[in-house]
Amino acid sequence: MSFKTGLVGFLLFGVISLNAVAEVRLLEGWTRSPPPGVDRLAIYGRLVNDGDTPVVLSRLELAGAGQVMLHETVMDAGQMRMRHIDPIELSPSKALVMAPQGLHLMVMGLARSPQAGETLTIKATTRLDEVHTFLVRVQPITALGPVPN
Amino acid sequence: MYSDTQKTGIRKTLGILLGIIMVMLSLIFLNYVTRDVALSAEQAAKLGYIRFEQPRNVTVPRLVTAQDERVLPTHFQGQWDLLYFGFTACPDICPTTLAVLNQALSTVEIPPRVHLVSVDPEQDTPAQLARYLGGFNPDFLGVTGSHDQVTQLATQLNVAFGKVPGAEPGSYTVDHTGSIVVLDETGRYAGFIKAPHQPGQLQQIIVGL
Repeated sequence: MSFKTGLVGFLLFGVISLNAVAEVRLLEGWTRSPPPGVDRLAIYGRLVNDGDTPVVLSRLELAGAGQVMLHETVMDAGQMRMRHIDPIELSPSKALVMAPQGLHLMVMGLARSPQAGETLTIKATTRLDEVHTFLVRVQPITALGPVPN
Repeated sequence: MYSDTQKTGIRKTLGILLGIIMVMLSLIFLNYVTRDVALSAEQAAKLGYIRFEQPRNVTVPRLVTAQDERVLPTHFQGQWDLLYFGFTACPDICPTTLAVLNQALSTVEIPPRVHLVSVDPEQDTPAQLARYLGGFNPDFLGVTGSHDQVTQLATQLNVAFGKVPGAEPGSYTVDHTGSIVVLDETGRYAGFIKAPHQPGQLQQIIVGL
């Protein structure tokens, strides 16, 4: 194989690979500054998969935090229960909506307390080892949505 | 024609009649005004507030406030009180409920007191509750105690809670009732507001208590 053929093949492979990487995004990502004395927080927003095939997120990370997991608050016979959801599957046709009193990314073991106005970066790794980053805006502790109230 | 004495009598009678009419009109007006403010049981239920026909007596067990002071048997008397049973390590529903309450009460002229009663009393010391609640609203109050003491209060208010192992070894969460408990001015259990809670909904209920 000549150098030229090899280069064309390499470039073609690169283009095909790029096309195969689904774009996963967090829209309107927000969280509240954790209350004093608390080392955890809940992240809300809409997770969307712009690709053509389902994506499974196998690992979520935030620098300076212990764990990041998808949880859901569910009401069961009047009881508020927390449910850990694993794996995190993102369908190309449906956004995963995370909102207070429902689905959320739960961050535990924060080394420091993020303050309102900061932006956090979540690193998400898919089962195919693709890496995506999600930006999360920190709102005041009394916020009820992505825009400060 | 009428004599002076008769005229005076007629004036007196008319004056009394006018007074009675004024009192009656005032009562009708007052009734009209209060009818618009106070919620009927049906209206309250539509908003998620289940109000009991007969408020229930509550025996206050030995508990402590976030200021580490004894919760006296008369603690919940003299004003309306809202009690939410939650815990400070709860990442979603508890801070959301407190944020909703904070917003709902912001425009209420005489707001009821808000108490977070800890369902994780081993971790939620008075100092931890004080730190935590101060972040939401300096007027929010905290209540904690031993597990048995909190259970004694919770049981009377139809609140259940229990520790559940978390996803990671050694971790845990606490399942708990999501309703907000309403105590009337005499400290009796008047009803509860079902979850989920929204600021506008809570505001209407609180104004109509």
